[in-house]
Amino acid sequence: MNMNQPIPDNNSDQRDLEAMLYVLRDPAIDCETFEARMIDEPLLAEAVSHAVSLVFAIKNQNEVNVERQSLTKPTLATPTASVAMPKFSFDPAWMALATISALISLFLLNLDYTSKDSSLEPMVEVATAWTDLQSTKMEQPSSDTKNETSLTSHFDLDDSSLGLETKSLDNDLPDWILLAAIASDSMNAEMVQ
Amino acid sequence: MTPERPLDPNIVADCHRAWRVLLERYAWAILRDWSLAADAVQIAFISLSRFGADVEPKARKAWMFTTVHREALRIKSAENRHQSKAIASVRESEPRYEVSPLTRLSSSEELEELRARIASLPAEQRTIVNMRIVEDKTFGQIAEELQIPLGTALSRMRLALERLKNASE
Repeated sequence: MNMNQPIPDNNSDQRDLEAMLYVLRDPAIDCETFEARMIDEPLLAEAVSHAVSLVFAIKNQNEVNVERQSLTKPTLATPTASVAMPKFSFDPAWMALATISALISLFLLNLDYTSKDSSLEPMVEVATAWTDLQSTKMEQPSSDTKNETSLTSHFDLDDSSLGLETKSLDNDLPDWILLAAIASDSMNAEMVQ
Repeated sequence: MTPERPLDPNIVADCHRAWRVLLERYAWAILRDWSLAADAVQIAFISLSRFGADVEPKARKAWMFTTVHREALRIKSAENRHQSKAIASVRESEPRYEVSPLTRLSSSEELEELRARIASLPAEQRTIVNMRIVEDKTFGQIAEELQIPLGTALSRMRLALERLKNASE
């Protein structure tokens, strides 16, 4: 079958086939001869136009199908050599191996943590020593209390005139607070009377 | 110089709406380039607006196809001359089947209809269509691969086109 000879234009199907062959630049058709016919035959020109739309629609559909396949079947994608990812399997053997590995890792981590815990002992000793030192300091009279005592002496307060026994009171409280409390208490007693 | 016989702008606008897509596809078949095809069609419509009053209304569509064809050949010739200055041998450039021009030129309903038609083709016809258009094999290669006569491959293609054409009309 020699397609270089113009096919008799006896029906539209034959015309459509020729138009498609021209659009695809098929070697079975002589493009120059066909183009010369296209000028004289408007129907042939329209057939070419339809053939173009069909070619694009088919190619478009193919691309859409490829995209859909790539979306629905991601495992079909072939990674390149530079970004090859490891393949994970859910075989029982693999799962058992993974479980054992995880347990061993946890055991090793636990050992490591215990050894790190023993290394904290010197720090604990330091902290204990610091706490002891603080408690020892609390037992001694504070310098602030001394200052406050000297402050009361500046006001020449006579404790005996007020009937106070400062020595029997807690050294931690300033004398003026005690004085204020006693004054308030005596005022209440007067009001009751 | 041919005296101008301007056509009513409203008629030109109607023709543009009705035939632009068809003519751009036709020009693409010759030029294999959408922007050049659009140029050829644009020039043809300018000619229609300037000289269209001389054309019989019934012959307008055929006149436009002829005008687009001649303009496309002129552009093609100019492109070939331009390329021949750069390279020794002039070869037709490979066609570029971009998807976007199709979506620009066709309505989504038309595309969906075509897809449905393609999907409903008999398997033997769909195979031929895919091998020829998608895989870009010649009919000789297809016939050899499928071990069928060349005429059978062509007739299957023709039957497939007949079904698909009905969808696009």
